[in-house]
Formats: sequence, C-alpha cells, structure tokens
Amino acid sequence: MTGSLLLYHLRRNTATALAAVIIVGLFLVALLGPALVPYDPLATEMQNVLAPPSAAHWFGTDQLGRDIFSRVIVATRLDFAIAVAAVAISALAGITVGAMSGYVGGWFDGVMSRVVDVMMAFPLFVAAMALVAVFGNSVQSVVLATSIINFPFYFRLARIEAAARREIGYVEAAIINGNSTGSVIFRFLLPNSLPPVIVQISLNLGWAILNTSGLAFIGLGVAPPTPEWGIMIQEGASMMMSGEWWTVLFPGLALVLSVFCFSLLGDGLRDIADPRRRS
Amino acid sequence: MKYRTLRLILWRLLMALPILFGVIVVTFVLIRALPGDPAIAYASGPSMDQEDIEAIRRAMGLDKSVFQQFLIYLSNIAHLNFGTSMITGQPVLQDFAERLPATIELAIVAFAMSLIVALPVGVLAAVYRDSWIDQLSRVITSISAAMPGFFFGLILIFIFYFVLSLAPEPIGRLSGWTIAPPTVTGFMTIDAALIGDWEVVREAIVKMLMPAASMAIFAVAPLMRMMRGGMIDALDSDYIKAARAYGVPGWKILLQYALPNAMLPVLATMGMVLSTMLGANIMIEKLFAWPGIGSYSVNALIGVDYAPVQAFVLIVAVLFVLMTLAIDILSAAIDPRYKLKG
Repeated sequence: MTGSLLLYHLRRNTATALAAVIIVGLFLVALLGPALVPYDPLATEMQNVLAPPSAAHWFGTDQLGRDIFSRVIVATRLDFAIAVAAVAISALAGITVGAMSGYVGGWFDGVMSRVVDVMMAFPLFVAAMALVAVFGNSVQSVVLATSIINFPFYFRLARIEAAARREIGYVEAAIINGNSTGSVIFRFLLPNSLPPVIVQISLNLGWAILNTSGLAFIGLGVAPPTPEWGIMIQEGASMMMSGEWWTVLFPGLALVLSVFCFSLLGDGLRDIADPRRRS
Repeated sequence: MKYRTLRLILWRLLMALPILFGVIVVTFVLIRALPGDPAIAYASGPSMDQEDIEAIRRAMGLDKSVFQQFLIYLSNIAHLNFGTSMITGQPVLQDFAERLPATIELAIVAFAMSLIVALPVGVLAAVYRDSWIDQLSRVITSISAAMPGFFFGLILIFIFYFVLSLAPEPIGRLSGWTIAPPTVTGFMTIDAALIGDWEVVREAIVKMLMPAASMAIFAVAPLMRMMRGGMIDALDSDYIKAARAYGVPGWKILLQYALPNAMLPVLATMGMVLSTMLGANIMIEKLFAWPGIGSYSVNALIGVDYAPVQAFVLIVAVLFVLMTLAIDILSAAIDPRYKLKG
C-alpha cells in the first residue's frame, strides 16, 4: 500500500488516525521523558508524602513523597522499550520460521506446528510468569518471555500466508526464474504477507505493555524503585482503600491509554488491510 | 450420535494426546531449568552438611539420568504426586485441593457476570445495528479490551469501599470476625447454606462481587464481539430471510432461528474465557487476597518454592487443552457442518 493511500484511509477513519497521533506522542514522551519531567522520579521528599494533586505536583506524590507525574512520564520509556523489543523479536523469529514452515512443508512444518500447538496450550500470562521465573527475575527476562509467548501468533500468520501463496502464479514464476528458496521467501512471500503482520504487531504492542505491567504488579520482572506503571499501581493499591486515589489513577490511566490506542490502531489497520473482516 | 461423528471425536481425542505429552515435557524441563539446586534449597537447615544434601539428592532422584528422572516424573504425575511445598510443608496436591474451590467459585461468578453483560448487549447491538446500543457496545468493548483487571478492581475498591462504603473490606472470602462454616465442598456459599447460615451466604456472595467483576472485565470484549458478529451473520443469512418472508414473528426468528446459530462462535470464546478465569486470574486473586490457586502459586514463585509452580503450570495447561477439546466436540455435536480440528 502506498503512503498516500494509507493517509487517505487514516483521514476517513478519525478514531484510527487519533490513535496513531496519540501513539506517536507517546513514543515522543518515551524518547524525551527524563528531559521533560520537573522532578527526579526517584527523589523522595519525606515531609510531603501522599500529597494530593497540586500546582507543584500535578499528579500528587506517593507514599515516599516522590512526584507521580515525573514517575508516570519516565515509566513510558521502560514499558515501551520492553514492548517494542519483545514484539520485534517475536515478529522476526515467528515470521521467518513460520514462512519457512509454510513454504517448505514436510517434516519441518510438522514438527514446528506441533511445537507451536504445545506453546499455545499454556495460558499467556501463566506462561509468561513461569518463563520469567526460569530466566531469572529481570527486565531482560520479561522481554524474552513476552517474545516467546507471542511467537506462535506470528508463526501461524506467516505459515498460513506462505502456504496459501506458494501455489499462486507470481511465486511459481519466481521459482521458475531460478530464485533460491530463501530469496523466494524473503523477496516474494514476506512482503505480500505484511499487512496482517502489521495489524498483529499493533495489537501485540498493547498486550506486551499489559503483560509487563501485570508481571510487575505481582512482583516479577521490573523491580522497585524503578518507575513502572504496574509497580506504581501495586504500590498504590493499599492507598486506594484509604482514599489516596492519585497514586493508582494516573499510572493506570497511562497504561489504559497506551493499550487502548494500540488496539484501536490495530483494529483500524485491520479494516484497511482486509475490508472483508470489518468489525 | 452418528458413527462418523463418533470417529471424528475419537480422532480429535487422539490428536490431543501429543499436545498433553508436550505440556508434560515442558513442565519437566521448566523445573530443571529453574535457577538453584533443588536439593540444596530443600536442605536449608543449619545442621545439613554435604552428606545430607547428597542423601536428599538421591532421595529426590537427582543422581539419576535425565531420562530416568523424566520417567519418575511421569509416574509421579500418574499417581497425582506433585511433590511437597516448602512454604506450607504440605503435599502440593493437598494445598491445591484446599484452594481450588475458592478459585472455581470466584471463576463461576465472574463467568456468569461477563455473560450477563456481554451476550444481551451483543445481541441487541446486532439487531439494532448502528443504533445507540451498538455504539454503547463499541464503547464497552474498547474499554474492556484495554482495561487491566487489577486497575479496574482498584477503581471499584475506591468507589464502592472508600467513597460509598457499600462494599465490604476487599480482603479474602469472609471478614475476619465471621466464623466460617465447616468445610464440606469448599464453596463458601454452599457450605454456609448447608448449615442454614444465610447471613454467611449473603456475606460470601457480597465479598465475591468486586473480585468477580474485576475478573469479568477482560472477558466482556471477546464475548460481546463474537455475539454481535455471530448474530449479524445469522440475521443476514438466507434461512432468516426465508423465515421473514413466511411471516414468522420477529421474536421467534430471533430466539429460535438466529440465536442458536449465532451461539456457535460464542461457545468457543466461552471456553477460552472460562479456562483463562480458572488459571490466569493471578493478579485478581493477589489484589483481593483471595485464597485460591493463583495467589498460592505466585506466592510460591516469589518464595522460590518451585513444586507448586510446576504443578500449577501443568494443571492449568492440561485444563486449557481439555477445555478446548470439550468445546470442539460440543460444537461438532451441536452443528453438523462443524469440522473437528486436527
């Protein structure tokens, strides 16, 4: 699809366009975060704990007197970095192996499909939790675990696309022209499978962010005092019972906004990529 | 049931076996891959010397080859022996048996809640397409898809516990000063009803509302989407047009002809939702200090107590596979056009 056509569709679909704009904004915040914030996200101020939102502290302060606005903004980078890294790994690995599996077929396809079936037998969050335990409690483990649990989606997508396109004229023509298997897969099959993959990536980025903050919420992966939305919500959980709502509301809204925009963008892109499946 | 269907079901059962075997292999590898020497972790007493650790290693079968260890693992599973939890000091099976009813009870309430919200709105959104109710269904779906259950739960706690004081303290199944009924089924509501203590039944139900709602929120989006989509497909089909042409009353078309056909895709989603609620509700159980298998397992994980974690992953995955299988077979039994996967 050419850029101008994409722009045309985005202009027609305001919700998708708005989601795209907000996501660009969030990425900017992730990039510039630490330079934008008024306070050090780790600096405590013990004489000013649990202060409600004010002109000095827009989102209030937490139980250690840290500025919640600064923490929410700075956390964007970590959550987005984890999501982008994890989705990039799973998309690259899943598409490559999936396309090979669908194109080559045979025993390789049989084995890989069974492996993916077994992977899909585990509920996503439980699998993520167990994998983080295996790899050790760290940010890298969260990235690795998230990329492994998302691998099957890309594998299946690429496999179906490759298997379906193998018999189509232009691929046969490429084979007859003497292209190697690798060249057929990467130059002819994959570029044509891109639209559904892009949809999947957008949806997956939202899931990955949810997953990361969910793990942090139960005490896995990112560890305090690092600013991260899931950790902030977890730390504010008991304050919610005593009425200090700002400790949870702002990190929660940041989380919901990000996930919401990614899933809105994904749905919108799906309508553009495949008008028949319009929801 | 016809012979052909029966054969298909047997074939489908057979196809599930390699997946179940794969699940067992993965959980076996999982416990081997976890950091730390289980024998040393197990022998964490001050009086333990190298010899004792070796003895424990032998007792745990860690001196044998990996293949032998796998066979031992298989036989242990067959005997429902999942090892002993280091934190509680009890067999893992017993720990699970004590906590599973709490998880199931909560999951059932959450499942019912998500159906009550998702299905009627989904049907109405399909019948009155592009009306306000269709827009409402879009809004609900979007919120449900982006809202983490633990955040939603905290919002509920703030509104209903702190601001309105309507909800009880969001901790556990009963308040601290309520005497729990003697455990028969493990379901708090049923156990209390058995001794005729309706006050406790009421309290147990009220205590479940907020955690169940937090758990239900994620399920509303897929269920509503499927219900709406299935209903639109059904209403657009030829047999509905034919029924309309024959002058069949509208409500009858809707309930007798369209709805059963629209339920098929919803059924598959229901299976996914229910098994997720039974296994992946860890964050909600932890938030509400709900004494179920999810919070038990995550506490074990944080406490480097791996036997319960292994058992939890295994049980949940097996449950997932069986639920998918059951839904698949049920769909085939309901709809003759449905092709069994595999």
